[in-house]
Amino acid sequence: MIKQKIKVMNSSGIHARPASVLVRTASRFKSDFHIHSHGYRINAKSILGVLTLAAEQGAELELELSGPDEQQAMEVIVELFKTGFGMEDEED
Amino acid sequence: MKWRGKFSVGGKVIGTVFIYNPKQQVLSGRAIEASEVKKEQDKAASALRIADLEYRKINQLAGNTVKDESQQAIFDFYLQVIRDPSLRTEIYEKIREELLTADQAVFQVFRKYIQKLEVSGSTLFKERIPDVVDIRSRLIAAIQQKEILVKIDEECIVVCRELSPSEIILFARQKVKGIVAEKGGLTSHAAIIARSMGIPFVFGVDGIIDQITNGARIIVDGEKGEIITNPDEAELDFARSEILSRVSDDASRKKYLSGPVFTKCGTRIRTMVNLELEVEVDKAAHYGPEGVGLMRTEAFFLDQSQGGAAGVTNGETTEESRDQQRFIERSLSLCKADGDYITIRLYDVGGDKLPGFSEKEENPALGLRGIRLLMARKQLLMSQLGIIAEALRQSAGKHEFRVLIPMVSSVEEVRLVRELLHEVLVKAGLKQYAGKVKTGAMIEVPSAALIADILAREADFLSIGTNDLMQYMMAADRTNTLVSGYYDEYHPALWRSIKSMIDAAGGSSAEISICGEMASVPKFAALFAALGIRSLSMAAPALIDVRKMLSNIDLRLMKKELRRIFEATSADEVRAITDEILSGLNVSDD
Repeated sequence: MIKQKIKVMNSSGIHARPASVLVRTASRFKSDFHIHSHGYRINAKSILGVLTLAAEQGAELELELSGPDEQQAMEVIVELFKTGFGMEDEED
Repeated sequence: MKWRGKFSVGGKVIGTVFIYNPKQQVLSGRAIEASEVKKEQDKAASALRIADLEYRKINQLAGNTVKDESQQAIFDFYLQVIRDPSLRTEIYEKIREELLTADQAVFQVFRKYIQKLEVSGSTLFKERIPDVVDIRSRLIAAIQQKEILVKIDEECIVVCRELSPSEIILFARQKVKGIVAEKGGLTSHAAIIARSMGIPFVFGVDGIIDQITNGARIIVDGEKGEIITNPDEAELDFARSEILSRVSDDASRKKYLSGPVFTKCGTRIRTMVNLELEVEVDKAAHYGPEGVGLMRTEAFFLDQSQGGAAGVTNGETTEESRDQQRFIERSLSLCKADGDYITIRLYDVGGDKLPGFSEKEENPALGLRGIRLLMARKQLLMSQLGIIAEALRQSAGKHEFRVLIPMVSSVEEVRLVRELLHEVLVKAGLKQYAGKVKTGAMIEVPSAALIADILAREADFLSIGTNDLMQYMMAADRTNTLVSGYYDEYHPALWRSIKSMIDAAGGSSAEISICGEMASVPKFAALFAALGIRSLSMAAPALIDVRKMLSNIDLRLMKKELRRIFEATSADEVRAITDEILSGLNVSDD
């Protein structure tokens, strides 16, 4: 199991579309993926779970990955956070 | 009182009102026994499956029209919620631990999530609440559907706020007479389904629900988009006489209600049906198709869902594989005459539908899809061939099966499927039926069109998919409105390529058929026949007009004129020449 702290960078937080991207990406890996926030631990392959985190810009989260491809998954997911989930504009 | 809808399909009917308003959902309040837990969990699972199928159907239908990125994002979001692994687990646990009925459990699990979204600060999160509420309503409606159905009889005309595609399929099964909906929106996709099922349907009728009562008389005219509620005797008489005169119209069409059809010069053209869902089988039977020219199987491929696709991939017997086998077996009922056959197209999906698929494709239409994907995930191919073999066993070799390979671009792909199919049949102890299964290539990639002669020697048959062939040939995405003008069925390139394929395959025994949308347009069907095509496959309701056209043409006369099409220099010229060739025919009604 590996863990890493990360900050939500994009201006609108992890709303529906970033959440959708995050869950879709996570589901491609075999590893279990959980996010810790404010004492909660949610299944990050669950769209409802990720969305109800209501993680806004600046929120500090801890990613937890566990499984055969955890290293590779962590790299891809961290990259997603850093690039603002590929959201070019934040109008919606 | 008279009403007018914004959009309508189908004919005219008189019936009694049945108000269907699933938004006023009443949850069952009862507690269940421990022995009922499994049953309620199964109900919830089945509702999730229905919703999944429904959203995929909507997504697919929307894909044929215009869809922008944000609409696509909403579809994706809906599907992700339906497939949320925690959602399913929580609903199951709620049923087991609190002994709730499935609808109550769904309601309470969603309520928890909705409350969390309500207290979150940003409006971006609150904006998703209506979507989440909508998904909840659909799941509960799916659970309760069975109970609603009891109240519907065949004289009913369903009046509702709006309908989902799965609801319209449900009503069609109950043989309702007609459907009226207040809203458009997703209903427009329901309209496509209503048309394919032949049910009069008027929608965009504001405020009608508040002005009617259950059981009242109503006249619905799907042709004109008009509705009369509480009609007086004069209005009823007029409607009855109009319905009668349309029936006599129908009588003149009646002789086209079944095949085979012969041209004036006596050439037989086989007219078959395209199928996508099991529920279409009964309706299709009404139009007397001579077999199934294209059975799509994508609906049985549960993309990305943990259980479904994994099961299919591992070759286990899953609910999807049973559904698919039953679909194939029921479709065999459309093979009435000796020599009728069904054509099953292997899964035509892209890599994004696979679980654990992490590569990003810049250009999915040119990516790992169709046979390419099936070769990369051989398990998937083998399991589908296994399903087909089982259906063949059940049918005891009574009818011919055809296996159609999507996205073929080289001859090796045909060889491989042929070999694997043989292997599967031998393993299943069905070697004696090997002659009953034919293997064919879908021609939709330009490279395949150019090697049609080679493919025709290797395959038992070729089937031209005009939609994709046109798209790939013109390098124009047909869902992209910016280039939709390039997608022109009269483009000389398409006609030259079809002609060259027919000429090239002429020396072989392989039969060429057409299953694209163009086959359902009577004038194109006539041209295809004149070019030498002897079997066409289309949506069931199109069969009548196509047969009527075919029985009125003389191929010998048309052939003389065809040369002009291949000498034409532009799409406009081809269009003008086509109209000229066909205007000579006086397609008579008798």
